[in-house]
Amino acid sequence: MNSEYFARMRASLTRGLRSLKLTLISLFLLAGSSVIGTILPQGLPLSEYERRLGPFGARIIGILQLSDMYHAWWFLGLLGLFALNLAACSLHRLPGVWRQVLHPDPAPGERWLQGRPCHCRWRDARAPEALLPEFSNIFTQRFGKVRHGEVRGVVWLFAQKQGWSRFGAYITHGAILVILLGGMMGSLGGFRGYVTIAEGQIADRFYLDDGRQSRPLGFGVRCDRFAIERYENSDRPREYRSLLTILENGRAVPGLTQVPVRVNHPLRYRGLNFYQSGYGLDGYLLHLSVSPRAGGGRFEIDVPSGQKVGLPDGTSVTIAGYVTDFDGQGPAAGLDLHYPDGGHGRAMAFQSEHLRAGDGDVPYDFRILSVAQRWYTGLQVNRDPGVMFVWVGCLLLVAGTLAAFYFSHQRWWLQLRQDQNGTLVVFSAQSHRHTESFARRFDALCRELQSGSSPERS
Amino acid sequence: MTSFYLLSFATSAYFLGFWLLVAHAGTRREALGRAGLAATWSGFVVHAAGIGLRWYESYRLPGDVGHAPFANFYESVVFFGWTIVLAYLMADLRVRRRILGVFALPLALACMGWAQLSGREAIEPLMPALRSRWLTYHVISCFLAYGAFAMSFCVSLMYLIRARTQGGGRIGIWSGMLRLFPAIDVLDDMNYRCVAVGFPIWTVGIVTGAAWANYAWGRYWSWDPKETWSLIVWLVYAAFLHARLTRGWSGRATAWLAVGGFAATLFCYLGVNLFLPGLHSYGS
Repeated sequence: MNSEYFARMRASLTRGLRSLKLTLISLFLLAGSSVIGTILPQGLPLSEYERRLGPFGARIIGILQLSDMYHAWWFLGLLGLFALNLAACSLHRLPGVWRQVLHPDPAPGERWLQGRPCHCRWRDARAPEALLPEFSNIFTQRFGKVRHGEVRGVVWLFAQKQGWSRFGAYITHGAILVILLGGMMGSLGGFRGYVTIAEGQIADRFYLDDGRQSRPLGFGVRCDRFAIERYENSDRPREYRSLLTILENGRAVPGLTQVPVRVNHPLRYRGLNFYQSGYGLDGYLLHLSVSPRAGGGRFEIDVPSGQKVGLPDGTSVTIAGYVTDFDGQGPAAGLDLHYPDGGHGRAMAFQSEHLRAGDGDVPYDFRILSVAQRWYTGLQVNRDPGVMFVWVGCLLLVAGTLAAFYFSHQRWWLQLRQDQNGTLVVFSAQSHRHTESFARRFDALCRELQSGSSPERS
Repeated sequence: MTSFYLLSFATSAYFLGFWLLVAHAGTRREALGRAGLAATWSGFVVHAAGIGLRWYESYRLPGDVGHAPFANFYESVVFFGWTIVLAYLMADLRVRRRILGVFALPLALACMGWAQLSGREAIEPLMPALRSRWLTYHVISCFLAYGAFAMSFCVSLMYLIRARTQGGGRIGIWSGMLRLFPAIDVLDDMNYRCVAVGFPIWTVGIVTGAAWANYAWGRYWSWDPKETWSLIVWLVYAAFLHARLTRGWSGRATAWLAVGGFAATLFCYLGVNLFLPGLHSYGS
C-alpha cells in the first residue's frame, strides 16, 4: 500500500512537472519577479538599504537576498524549476512528435480523418484506379513527395511538408537549457577582474571584481600607449585605444606586440579576454620656466608629478595639484616650495599669458611651457568557459523559434473507397499553425480535385 | 538636411491617412478607405526614403561621423514609427481591413510627433561603445519586433471592443464601425500571428544585444535594467504563445495578455531610459 501511495505521488508529481500550467506559472513568476531588481538598486550594502527603507525593509531584503536578487536562492530555484519543466515537457512530447513526422500513419481511419480541421468528401462515378493518376499528379505538383498505397480496399495518398518545423519548439527548449548550462559554467568556472596599466608599465596580476583579491595573469601585459581619438572639430571621444604587448618570461610574444585594443574589439590570449573599459591620468611632466623675482637669469626645469625637484638655490618644488584646463585658459598647477631655511610657500603656474600668479611672498615666477601626460589604461579581464555554450544555445534559440513560428507542418490525406456507385473520395488536411490561410488553400485545392471528377454532394 | 523634410512629409501623410480612415470608419465609404490607405503607403515610402537619406547624409558630414540612423532617441523613435506602419500595412495586405489603421496610425503618429517636437534631429557622432556593426543588427531586429508587438496591441484592442459589444452590451457609436472590423476569430488569429512573427525577431534582438555586450563589456548578460526588461517582454510573450495551447486561455484572456506584453515592451523601450539607470543611455 505504501509503495502504491508513492507510485501515485510520483506519477502526479511528474504530471505536474511537465504540465503547461507549471510553464505558465513559472514564466509569469520569472517575469514578475525580474521587475524587482530593475526598480530596487542592486549590489548596495545592507546598511544603505536600511537607511533608505528602514529596518523592516532591510530585513526582508536580507532574507530574500534582494540586494543581488538575480543570484538569490529563490530566483535560481525558480530558474531551476523552469528548466526542469522545460526538460520534462519536451522529453514527454518529443517521441510522439518524432513518430508523427518521421513515421506517420499514411492511411488513418476515416473517422479520424473526419475530425481534421480541413475536411471534404464527394462521390465520383469512376473507379478508384481511374481517379488515382490524376489525383496523384495534382498532389505531386503541389507537395513534391507523395506516398500512396492500398489498405483494406482503400486507395490512399499522403503528403506532408515542413515536418521539421515541429521540432522548432524542442530545439528552442533545448537551446534555453544549453544557455542556462553555459551561464552556470561561466559563473562557476569563470571570473571577472580588472587591471590598470600605466603607459610603459607591465602588469602580471589583476584584481577580481568581488573582493580585493588579486590573481596572477600567468604572463605579462605591457601598455605601450593609450590614446583618445576625438571627432574632428569636437571634443567628443571617437575611440579609446590601448596598444598592448603580451610578454612571456619577459619577452614579447611575436605577433602580439602593440596590439590595438579598442572598445568593441577585445584581445584574447590564453583563455583570458581583455576589454578596453577605462582610462585615467597616471601622471604628468610639467616643463616649467622659472624667473627669479630678485633678478637673474630665467631657466627651465622639468617637474614630474609626485617628485621633488631642486632649484639651484636649494629650494625644492613639488606639484600639489594640477588641472588640465583652468577657466578655459589651459593647464594650471599649484606648486609647493620648500626653502633651504625650512620655510615653505605656495605658487601657481599657468600656461596662458593672460594669467599671472600674484603671490608676493614667493621669490619665483613660474610658467608652464608644456605638459606631457602619461595615461593608464583600464582593462576588464575575464575568463568565461561557458561562453561557447551560450552562443551555440543562442543560435539554436533563433533557429528554433524561426522554425517553430515561421513554418508549419502541413499534412494531406486523400482516400478513395470503391462502392457499388463508384468511388467515395475523402480528403483531409491539417496544419499545426496558420490555420486560416491554410484553410483557404485547402478549399481551393478541394475544388480543383473535384473539378476533374463529377462531384455529387453527399 | 533633406531627410528631415521627408520625415515631416511622412508625418503629414500619416495624419491625413488617419483622418481619411476615421472618415471611412464613420461613413463606411470605400473610396475614403482607399484614399486613407494610399496616403499611408505614400507616407511609408517617403518615411523609408527619409531614414535611408539620413543614413547617407551622416556619411557626407565632416568629421567621419557616419553611422546607421539608430543611435539616439530621435532616430530610434522615427524608426519605431516606421516599423509600426510596416506591421500595419503587412496586416492590411493579409486581411484588407482599412479600419486597422484607425488603431495603428495614432501610435505611429505619436512616435513621429514626439520625434518632430523633440528638436533633436541633429546627427550626432557616436560614442565609442556604440561604434560597432552590431548596432545596426541589434536595433533593426528589436524595432521590427516592437512594430509587430504594437500591431498585436492594436488587434487586441479591437478584439476587446468587439468581444464587449458582441456580448449584447452597449453598441451605440460602435455599431457602424464594428461592421468594418474583421470577424472576432480573425482578430484572435491575427493577434497570435503578430506575436508569432515578432517573437523570433525579438529573440534575434536579444541575442545580437548579448553578442554585442560580450564584445564591448566582456559579458553577454549583466542584468542591466534594459536587458532585464527585454527578458521580461520575452517571457510575457512566451507565456502568451504557450497560453494559446491550453484550454480556457483564449480570446479575451490572451488579448489582455498581449496588451500587458505591449505595456512591458513600451516600458522596455521608454520607461527604462526615462526612469531607470543603465547602459542604454540614448534616452538621456
